[in-house]
Amino acid sequence: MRWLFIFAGCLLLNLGVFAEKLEYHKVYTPQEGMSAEEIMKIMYHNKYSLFARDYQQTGEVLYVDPSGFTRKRVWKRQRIVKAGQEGISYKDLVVMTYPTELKGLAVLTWTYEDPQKDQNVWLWIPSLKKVRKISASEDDDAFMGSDFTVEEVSTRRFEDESYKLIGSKNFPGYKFEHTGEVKFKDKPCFVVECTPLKPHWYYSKRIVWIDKDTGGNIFEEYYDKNGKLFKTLFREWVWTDLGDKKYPSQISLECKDLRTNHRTVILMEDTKYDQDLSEYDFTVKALMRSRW
Amino acid sequence: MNKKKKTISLSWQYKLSRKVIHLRIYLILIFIIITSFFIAVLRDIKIETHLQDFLPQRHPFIKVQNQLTDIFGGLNQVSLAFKVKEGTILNKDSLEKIISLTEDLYLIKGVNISRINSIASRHIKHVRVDKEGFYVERLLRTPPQTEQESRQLKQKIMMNPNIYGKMVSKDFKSTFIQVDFSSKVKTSYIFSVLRGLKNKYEDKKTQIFIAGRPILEGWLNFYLPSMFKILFLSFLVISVILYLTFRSKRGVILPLLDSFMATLWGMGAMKLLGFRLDPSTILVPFIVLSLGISHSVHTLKRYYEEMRVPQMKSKHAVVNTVAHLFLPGLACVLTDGLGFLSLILVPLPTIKSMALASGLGILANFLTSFMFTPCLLSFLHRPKILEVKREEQHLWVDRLLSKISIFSLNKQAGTVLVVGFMALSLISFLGIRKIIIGDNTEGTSYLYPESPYNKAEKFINKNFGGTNSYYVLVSSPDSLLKVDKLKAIDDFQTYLSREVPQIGASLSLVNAIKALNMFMFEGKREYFKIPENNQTIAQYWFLYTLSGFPSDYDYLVSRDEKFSNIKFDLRDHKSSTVDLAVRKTKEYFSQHKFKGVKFSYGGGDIGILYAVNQIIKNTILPNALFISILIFLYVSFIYRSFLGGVFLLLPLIFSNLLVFSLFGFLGIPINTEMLALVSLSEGLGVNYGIYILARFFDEFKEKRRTFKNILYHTLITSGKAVFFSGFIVSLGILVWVFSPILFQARLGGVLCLSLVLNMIISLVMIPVFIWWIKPEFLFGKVRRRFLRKEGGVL
Repeated sequence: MRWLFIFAGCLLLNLGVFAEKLEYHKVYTPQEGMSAEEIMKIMYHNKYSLFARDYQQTGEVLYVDPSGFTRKRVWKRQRIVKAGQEGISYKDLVVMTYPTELKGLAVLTWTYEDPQKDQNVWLWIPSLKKVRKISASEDDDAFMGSDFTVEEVSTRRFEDESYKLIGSKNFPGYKFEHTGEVKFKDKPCFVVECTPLKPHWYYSKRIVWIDKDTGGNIFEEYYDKNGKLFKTLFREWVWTDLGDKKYPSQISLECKDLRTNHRTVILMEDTKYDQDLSEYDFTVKALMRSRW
Repeated sequence: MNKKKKTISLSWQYKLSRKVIHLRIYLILIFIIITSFFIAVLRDIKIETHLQDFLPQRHPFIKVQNQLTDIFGGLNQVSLAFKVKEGTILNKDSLEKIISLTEDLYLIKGVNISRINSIASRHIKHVRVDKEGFYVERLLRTPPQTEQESRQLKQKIMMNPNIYGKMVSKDFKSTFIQVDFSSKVKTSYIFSVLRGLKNKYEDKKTQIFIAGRPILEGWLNFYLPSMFKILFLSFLVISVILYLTFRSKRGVILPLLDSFMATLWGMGAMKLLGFRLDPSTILVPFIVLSLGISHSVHTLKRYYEEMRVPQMKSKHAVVNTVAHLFLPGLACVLTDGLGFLSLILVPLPTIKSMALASGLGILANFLTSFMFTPCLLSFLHRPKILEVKREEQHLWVDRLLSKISIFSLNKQAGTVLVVGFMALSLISFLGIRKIIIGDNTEGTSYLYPESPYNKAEKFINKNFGGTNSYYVLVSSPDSLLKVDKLKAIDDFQTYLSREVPQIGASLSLVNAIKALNMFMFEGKREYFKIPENNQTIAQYWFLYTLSGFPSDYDYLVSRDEKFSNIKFDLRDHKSSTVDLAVRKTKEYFSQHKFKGVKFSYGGGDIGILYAVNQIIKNTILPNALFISILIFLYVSFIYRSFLGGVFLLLPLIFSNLLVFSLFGFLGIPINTEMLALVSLSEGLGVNYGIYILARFFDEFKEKRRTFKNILYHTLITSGKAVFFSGFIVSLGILVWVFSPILFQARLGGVLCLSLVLNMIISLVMIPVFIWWIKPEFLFGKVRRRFLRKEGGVL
């Protein structure tokens, strides 16, 4: 009986954690017995690296058309997690470093805690030496001209969808076109069906495979209004070992549009966490300094 | 009669006919086997519309179009207009429908998702500019919920010159949607899916218009059953007139059977050679059938004529018939068949199909009309005397032909006739000068102005930029995103939009770059220009494409940035508009040369129409000349007289002048399908002349004392056959005027007129000419005979 009370106490404690928001600067992983909502909250927490104080990385985007013709863009990204200070969730800076004619083009974004409050976005155009305030990209716009939508990479929130746990399954494996490797074969996953709450949305549902180990969404299938699969999205999640702690990180993404047979690959390198980035770097003034 | 028989029995034609009848069982078997083979070949024939079949692939404009299609896609473009019957579209219900319709378009199989242009499309944005920056948002994501939101939407639309008047009509009663499909998608599928959507969204308050080439082809397919009904009716009319002419079963069955066989052979051969039928060439079988019936009428008429001799056996009558008709029949078939086959040089697959099916069918018709039918006839028992007499009971025709013979011998009447003909010929030149190659109406000349398709085109062209695209391809060895290259594009775009008033809208990547530059400078109008820095242009383009998916801008710039295009939307595709757009383009590029950037024109509907119109212009006269020369040489060869050739050619030229002048006077445009008319009109026209002249030749060999006698005999025998074959075929074809497809109705009307004219001219003019000129090739022997006997009256 005592054990039963302890177990019930632990369970209530655990549920208590998920009844509210997950805490910043903590790493969570999904557990057996969790609801679809709990699993998805952890997924979002990890997706936006809310466990870290800051991070930086280099991203390489490859746009591959059906003929194999490939275009490349390279960016440098820095993010500082504000953890709700002054109502800000995080500040984000993306600077283009390749190709040469785009070098220095930078976008600074402040994302707020309140989901109703729009992001603040500033654009630095080095050839004109001008900063212009611009509207945030809409969630269903393309992310940097790729096959990903903005929300798939950066803005989708937990509140945007309703969830249904389909079950626990072993992932059948994904052939990563960029290298030809089959990734994550037989990896234990939770499978969740997500339905958008927004009207006239670009998909009717998506099936998400959540890695039980990292809590990362390793594979997503997007279905249209007719129930036809039109897009797949793969993310390679790994643990980044920082010595005293380890964080879940995405190191590669691949999105395939099955209607156009176009795919986009994002490769992330040099990911560094908790580097004590200066908040000054995330201001309009710093943007105008054009350090790149 | 005995001497005549003797002359004929010595001829090689007679020997050949005897051989044919001798081998008749084998021949009939061979015919049955070949026909069965072609039936098997044609078992799974489909009538399909393939856009490529309508394009002259070697024309430089089509090469440009193919390049444009390879790089940017977009030839299967459809225009839709969503119209409310009352009020404006700015209400919740209508906007909900527009959003839903746009979503449904994204879900169609084979649709080019980056080329759906609707106010509810994901890439149609509203841009707000202030001192700090600019803000971009989807123009229409969800319908406005309040009056204020509706007013705001109206403001956004009115502020955007690319939307107001181009995507939303100025009275706000309708909106324009453009959708593009992969070139692999069949037009029948596009047509049925979009018609389904039209039915889904149309109600008491809403009307949907759909236009564009795939839809036009869809409508032509849609009307096919009606077209078949018309052809069947035509077939019935011909059968009834055949019966009224011959008053016997064999008189109906045999012409139809042998012509039908020839049609099967022609179409089978066409399919074996890899060509196919489409709605515009579906009339081919009927053309072959008509020509075939015409020959068979002559065969049967001659057969019945032979059978007037009471003791004549069927077999002998058949041998005589074939012997007499072999040469004129061969002449007719060769001129008709080769005339049609000459169209194979026209670089349009659809015309090649028609040329092959018709040409080979007509050549096959020689075998069926002058071998198969005679073989069958020889097996049939001798027709009852009553049947022969019944066949001859056309006293009114005899009276008419007799009057013609009297008229032809009257020098005064003949003079009036010839002068009249000459005057008409001169007048007809005025009409010919007015001929329009290509369309002369806003919509398509294939369909009636009140057809749903033309109503849709009219509505869209009246309220929006236009449904007729004209593309100019721009290419460069390196990126086009450079100041000087963009300025070159801009200059030409501005020039053509100014010079061609029918241009409703134009689009190139310059539009985007100029707009972005303006947004960067607080929306000030003076900054609506190309920036002077290459790097700024590259950055603008990157920003412009940032929120779009990879294929979203494929229609504008290739991914390596080396190819782009300028698109002009024109409000009509009249021949004059097409010519003006191309002429102005040519003029501009002959005066302006650019370094590092190449402009190639012209693609889109306008480019294609220009190429096709040019093909027609270049083909129609050479084709008519080729057939005329063929006729002239062949007839000259048979009669060993160039004058003989002239005798047939003059009436033919005259009737064709009259027919084509009618095109000009009545404003009937000439398009590709009308090319067949030239061949058919000349073919049938010359057939009448050849049969009449051949009969004259035969009659001159007879010991008839006077020309009046010769003429009378010619007219009541071959003349009568010409009259009936002309009458049967022209009345059969006249039924086409009831077709729901305007071009079939016009073709039917003009062809009928052409046949009647050819028939009348052959019956009247040839005798007058012969009597006036008294050519040596006809009169030589007779004249000598009369000179010998002294006393003959000629």
